[in-house]
Amino acid sequence: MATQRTPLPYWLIAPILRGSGDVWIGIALWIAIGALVTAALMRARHRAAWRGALLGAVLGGVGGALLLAPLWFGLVSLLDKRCAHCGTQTRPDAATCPRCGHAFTESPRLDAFVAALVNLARVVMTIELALLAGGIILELSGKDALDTYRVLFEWGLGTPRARANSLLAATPIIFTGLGTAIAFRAGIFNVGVEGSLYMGALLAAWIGFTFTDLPALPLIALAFVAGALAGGLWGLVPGYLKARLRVDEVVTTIMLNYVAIEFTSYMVQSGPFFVPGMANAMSKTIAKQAQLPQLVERSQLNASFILALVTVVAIMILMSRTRLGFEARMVGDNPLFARWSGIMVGRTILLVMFVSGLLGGLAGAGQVLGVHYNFTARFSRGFGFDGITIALLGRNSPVGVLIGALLFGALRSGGTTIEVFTDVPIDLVDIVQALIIFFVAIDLNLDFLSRRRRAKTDRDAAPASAAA
Amino acid sequence: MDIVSLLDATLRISAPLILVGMAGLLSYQVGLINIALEGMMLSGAFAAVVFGYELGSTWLGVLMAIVVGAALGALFALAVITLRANLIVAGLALNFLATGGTAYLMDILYNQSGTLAPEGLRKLPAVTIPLLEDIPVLGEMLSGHSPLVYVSWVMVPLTSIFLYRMVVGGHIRAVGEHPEAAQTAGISVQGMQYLALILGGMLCGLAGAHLSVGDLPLFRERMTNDRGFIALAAVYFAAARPRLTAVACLLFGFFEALQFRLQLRDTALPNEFLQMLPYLMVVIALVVISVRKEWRKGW
Repeated sequence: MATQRTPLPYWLIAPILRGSGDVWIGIALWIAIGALVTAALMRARHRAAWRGALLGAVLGGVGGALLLAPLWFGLVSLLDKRCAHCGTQTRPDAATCPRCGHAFTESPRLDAFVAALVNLARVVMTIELALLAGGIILELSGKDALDTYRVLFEWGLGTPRARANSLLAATPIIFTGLGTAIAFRAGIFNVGVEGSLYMGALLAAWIGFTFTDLPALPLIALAFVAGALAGGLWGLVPGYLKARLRVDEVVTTIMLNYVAIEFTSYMVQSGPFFVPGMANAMSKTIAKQAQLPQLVERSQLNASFILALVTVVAIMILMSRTRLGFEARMVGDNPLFARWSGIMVGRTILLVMFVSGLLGGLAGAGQVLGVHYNFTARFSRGFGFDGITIALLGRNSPVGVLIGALLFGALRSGGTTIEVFTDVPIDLVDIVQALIIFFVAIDLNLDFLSRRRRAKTDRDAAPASAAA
Repeated sequence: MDIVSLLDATLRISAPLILVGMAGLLSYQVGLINIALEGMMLSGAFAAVVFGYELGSTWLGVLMAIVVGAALGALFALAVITLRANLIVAGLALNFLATGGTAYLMDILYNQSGTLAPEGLRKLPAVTIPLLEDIPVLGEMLSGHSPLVYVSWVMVPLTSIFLYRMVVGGHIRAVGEHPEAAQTAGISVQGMQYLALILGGMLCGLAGAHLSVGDLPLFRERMTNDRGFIALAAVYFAAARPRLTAVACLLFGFFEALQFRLQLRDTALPNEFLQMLPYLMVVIALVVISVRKEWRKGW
C-alpha cells in the first residue's frame, strides 16, 4: 500500500493530546466544528435563518463537547503506545519512552491503521476544499451555495432511493478506480481503462445476446469473464508496448482509448452488431436471464455493485498478500532496484496491465448487464477518467478507491438533480471534479516534498550522530 | 467528388490543428507532455465569442482568446513547474476545468446551454488574395479563407525559426534534451518551461478562436472535439519537427474532410475507421521511433 510510505504525521490526527493545556484546545476545536456544521445544516434545512443557525450552533456545540470530543480522544488514545517496561502511555510517534527511555519498535499493523486513518482524513479534506472552492464560485456567480449543496446532498444521500442511485453511480467507477490504482501503484500511468471498459462492454453484450439458450448463472458468469478478458487483452496492448518496446504508456493509452471507442461504435453503427431500425447506435438487447437482478426497488442498483465490493477485497489481497502485488509495488517504488533484485519487470508490467484492463472490462460488463442491457455507442460518461481521479484521491489503495468512488457516486448522482431543482448548471460538478484533481495533484506533491526534506535532514543528521 | 472543394475543406479543417500542433510541439521540445491543449483551445474558443461580443469587435475577441490561452498556459505551468504537480494529472484537471467552466459560464452569463451564438457577433472577414484568386483552381483553394488559416501557415516557419535559429529556441530545446546539462550551462530550466507553456497557450487560444469565430460566429460545448489530442498525435507522429508536424496536421485534416464527403456519399469504408486513423498512426509512429532507438542502442 502507498500508505506505508507516508510516515505518521502526528499533528494531523491529534494536534492536541497530552499536556494540561492542549486538551482544552482539542475540546474547543471539536465544539467549534460541531457548532459550525450544525448551524449551517439547521440554517439550510429549516430556513428559519438566524434563529435556526443560533439553535444549531448551541446544539452542535453541546454535541461537540459531549460526543465528538470524547469520541475523538478515545479514538486517538487507542493509538497510544504503552511502554513495556514501566507502563507509561505516550504519544504514538514517540521513539522512546519518556520515563525510562525504553526504545519502541514499530508495530506495522498500527502504523498501517494510522496511515489509513490519515488517508481517510486527506480524502475528506480534499473533497471539502474542492466543495469550498466550488461554493465560492457559486457565491461569486450569484447563487446560493448552501442551498445548492443541500440539494446536491439530499438527492445524493437523502433518501434510500437517492442512496441507491449514488451506489449505482459508484459501481463502474469502483472498478475503473481500482484498475487505474493498481497500474499507478506499479508506476504505470495507465490512462486506458476507458478503452478496456468499452471492449469489455462490447464483448459482454455480445455474449448476452448471442447465447440466449444458456441459463442465467452460467450466462452471466460467461459474460463477465468474457468482458474482463476482452478488457484485459486490450490493456495488454500498451502493456506489451511498454514492457517490450519501451513505448511511453501515457500517450499510447490515450490514443488507444479513442481507437476502442471508434471501433466499438463501428461495431454497432454499421458493423456486425448493427441492428436495422434501431434509432440510436445500439446493439440488440441481451437475454432476459442475463440481466442482473436489482437490489432495491425503483432504482437500477444491481448485483454488479456486490461484485465491485468483492473486487475491492480481492484487489486488496492481491496487492498486499500475493507475489504479483509485492512485485508490482516494488516495480512502482523503484524499477531499477526491482530489476536488480531479480524481479522480471517486463513480466510484472504485462501482468499489471492485464489486471488493470481486466477491471476496466468488468466495469463495462457490469454496466451492460446491470444498467443498459445492450451496448450503446459511447455510453461511458468518462468512467475511465473518473477512475483516474478516484485512484489519485484514494492514493492507490483499494479502500481509498472505494471511499473515493462512493463520494464521487454521490456527487455525480446528486449533481444530475441540481439543474432540476436549482438554477445552477450541472457543469458545476465538472468544475468541482477538476478542483479535486488539482488539489490532489498538489497535495501529492507536498507529500513528496516533505519526504524529500525529511530525507535531507536525515542525511544531515547522520554525521552528527556518528560523531557523537 | 469535387477535389477542389475537398482540398479547400482540408485547409480549413487543418488550420486549428496546425496551430495547436505548434503549441504541442513547443511543450514537447521543452520536455513536457501537454495534455491540456484541449482545454486551452476550448477556453480560447469561448473567450473569442464572449469578448468578441462584449467588446463589439471580433478581432478584440481573438486577442482576448490569446490572452486567456496564455493565462491558462501560465496556470498550467504554475501547477506543473512551481507546485510540481503531475503533468498528466494537472492536464486532465485543466481539461475538466475548461469543459465545465465554459459550460458553466455560458449558463451563468447568457443563460444558454449547448450553443452560444450571440446576435451581432460577426465572424472574421474572409481574406481574398488579389492576384491569386483569379487563377482558376489555386485561387478557389487558397484564397477566401478566414485570416487565421493564413496565420496558421505563417506560424509553421515562425516556429521553426524560433526553435532552430534563435537563442531562446535553442535554450528551449536544450532544456528538453537534458535539463541538468542545460541548468549547468546557465539556462533557466523553469523559465524556459514557463515560456514554452505560455507560448503554447497563446497558440491554443488562437486555434480556439479560429474554431469559434473563424467560420461561424458561435461557441458549442466541447466544440474542440478532441482536436487537442489529434494535434498531439501529429506532434508525436512527426517527432516534433515543425514542418513535418504541419504536414501531419494537413494529413489528418484531409482525412477528416474526406470523411465528411464519404459520410455524405455512404461508401463501403466505415468512417469510424478513418476517425481511428490518426490515433492508430501515433501508436505505430511511437513504436517505430522506439524500436529504432533500441536498435541504435543495440539490444
